[in-house]
Amino acid sequence: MSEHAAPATEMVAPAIAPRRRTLQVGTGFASAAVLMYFGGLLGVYFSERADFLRANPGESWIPSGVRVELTAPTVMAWTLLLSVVTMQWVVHATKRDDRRHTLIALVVTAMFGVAVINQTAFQYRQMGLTIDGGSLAAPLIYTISGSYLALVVVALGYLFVMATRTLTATAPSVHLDGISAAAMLWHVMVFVYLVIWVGIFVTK
Amino acid sequence: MTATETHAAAADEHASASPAGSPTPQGLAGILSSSDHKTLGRMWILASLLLGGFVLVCGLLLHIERANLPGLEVFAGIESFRQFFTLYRVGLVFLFVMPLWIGLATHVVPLQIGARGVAFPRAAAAAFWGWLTGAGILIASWAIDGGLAAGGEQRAVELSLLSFAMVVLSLLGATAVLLTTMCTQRPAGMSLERMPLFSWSVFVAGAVWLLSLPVLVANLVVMWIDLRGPSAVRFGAGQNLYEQVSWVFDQPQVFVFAIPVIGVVGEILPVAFGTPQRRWGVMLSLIGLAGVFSFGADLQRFFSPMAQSTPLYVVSGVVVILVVVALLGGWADLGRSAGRFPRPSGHLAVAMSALGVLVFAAIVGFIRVLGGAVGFLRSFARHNESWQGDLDRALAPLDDLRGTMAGAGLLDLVAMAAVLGAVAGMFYWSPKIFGRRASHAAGFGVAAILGAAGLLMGLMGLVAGFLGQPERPSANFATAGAEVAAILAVIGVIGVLLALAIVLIVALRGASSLARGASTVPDPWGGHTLEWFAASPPPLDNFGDEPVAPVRSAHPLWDAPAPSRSEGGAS
Repeated sequence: MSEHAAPATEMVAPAIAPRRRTLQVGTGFASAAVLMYFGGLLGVYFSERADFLRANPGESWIPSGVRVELTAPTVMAWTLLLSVVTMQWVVHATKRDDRRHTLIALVVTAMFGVAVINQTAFQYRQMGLTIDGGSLAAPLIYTISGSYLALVVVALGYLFVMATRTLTATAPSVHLDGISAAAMLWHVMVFVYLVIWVGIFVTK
Repeated sequence: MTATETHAAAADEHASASPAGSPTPQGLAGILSSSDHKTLGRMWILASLLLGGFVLVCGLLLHIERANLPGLEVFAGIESFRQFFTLYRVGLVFLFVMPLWIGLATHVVPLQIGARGVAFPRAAAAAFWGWLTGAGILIASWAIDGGLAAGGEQRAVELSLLSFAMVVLSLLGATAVLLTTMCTQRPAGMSLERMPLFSWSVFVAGAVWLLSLPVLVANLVVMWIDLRGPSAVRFGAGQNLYEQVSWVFDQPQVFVFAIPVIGVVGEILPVAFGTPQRRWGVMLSLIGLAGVFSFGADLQRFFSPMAQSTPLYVVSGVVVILVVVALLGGWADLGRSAGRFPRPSGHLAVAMSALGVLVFAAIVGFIRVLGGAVGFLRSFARHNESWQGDLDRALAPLDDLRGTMAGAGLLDLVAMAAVLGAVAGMFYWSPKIFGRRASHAAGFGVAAILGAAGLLMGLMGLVAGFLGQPERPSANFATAGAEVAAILAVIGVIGVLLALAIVLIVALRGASSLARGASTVPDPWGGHTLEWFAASPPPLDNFGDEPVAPVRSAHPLWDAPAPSRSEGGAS
């Protein structure tokens, strides 16, 4: 070991204060995983659909008797796009320590999220798609839309936790990191739906 | 308090608990309820070593069955054999190798980067307990006729899928905690390129895990939904279950589980030579390159049935061996600049053994992608029959390696290289992890025996592959003759037995070291990274309330002027 044998003392001391934006960074990694999860699902969906259409030219990938209408998914897409605006309203109000606007924007954003869950339930009933052993599309569509529903619930829960911490704090901006992290996950959620909307419902 | 609390809040809670009259739990209760990264790291390490022992027993049974010895029928039938085959592979990666790395990283990385703890201590604890619970359910589901092979009982197979997803999600949670810690808890002056090589390798491997393993979870969820229907359509169909996830256990993805080996070797060698690593940026870039070309989620057979004949597959195998050769060159350069041999030690021996097995794995991987290249050339030369005929004759042995035991040999080699690398890390950081310096003699023994075990397992797979034995369990293993198959299987049995013995001994030695208590100096090797500044074992907040000073290089303890270093470190 020679000249480097003894350990250091004063010259190099470890850090005490952590860097900021821990929640945003952590949520960024979680969001990357979420994107790859849906990327994996959509990859299987697109490759299976392409294989089916290649093997059965002229046939419909969606089983006969199933109504996959564009109205409900488009309304959901617009609902989520609006929620992007209200979510940024939450972040902006939190940054300015504006408790009243933070609360209003949070409630509106959460209502949009709940509306998406309601619209998904309506769409399931309207489609009448069953996993009956005959269609490859059925398990894939339910896996993707069901996973998305779970993501909406997780994003709502995360938003609720961060909102509670923010609104109960002396100054909301203290928890800007948490609110920004919840907003990041929310935006990723909206982006994922737009891909689903185009990939599954628009192009069918 | 939620899982999103940062370590500072958790440390404050620890600090305030005792004076307030609600004492911090001690003993077993303290261990089980701990969110301290060092305790969690030890629990990850010990649990993965014990589960690794179980997995190796499964491997032992498989090799005994393959030997087809008269009067020794281990499994009731081929279906049972196939279930154990899938359990062995799933267990080897997700119950043994990956959690072992996460355990080592959870303990060491925060110390290396000068942090007081991990970014989300509650989430880190939840990840460990989620993994352990998932692992228990996973093994139980296989025991009640579940698994990823055809012929399982449907409910049990569903349980296998869910528990497998739980295990992977927990490992991903722990990985996300580590990545966040490395991004947000570094001290001033420690940029990403100044992070120690082990932390950097964990960062690279963790990033690839985080981007590739969610695709595995997607595979599992599709299978589960399909199985919930009256009859499985395709994804949950028996023969497709393992096929859909097999990309995780094959090239190039399998190499990502061995990337931290490079980091461990890169930590140990400069200390052994007593001189800083030259061409630091190149070393970091090589590790990053290995990570990029280890991403294999896009090469699954459900996306592309001919995944092993794609240019990307071939390129990835070539890049891995080039990276390994370049790294060897970098370390040879280190020796040349030091101008002397490294000081022999137990951890250096184990690290060199890990490096040797990893080099062998890279060679086997290279040979296997040559088969992929043949397949690619064949499809390219389809229009020319005479050329195709020549190609067939010239390269048939390499082409035929696809789908053979060479794949199993590669997985065993990479797994053993990873285990050796992790054990080398445990020996090197034994003063921090176990509070005692591991004996050099034990290190030499582990290096020799576990290295030999890994080479035997890999060699058996490679030879069996060249002889045409199929990788997937089938009714007839002995395509090259019963005697040869039996000899190869017996070699495999010896290899697994040696590995099993060493893994259990290391687990027991580690546990007994913890039970005996601390007895060592903070820095017995003269290390250059921040973990050696802490006491052995480190206190709850790792470093106490020392003043912060900027880190000026990748070797902060060697940058300190001699007078200040001679006064000794924290104790």
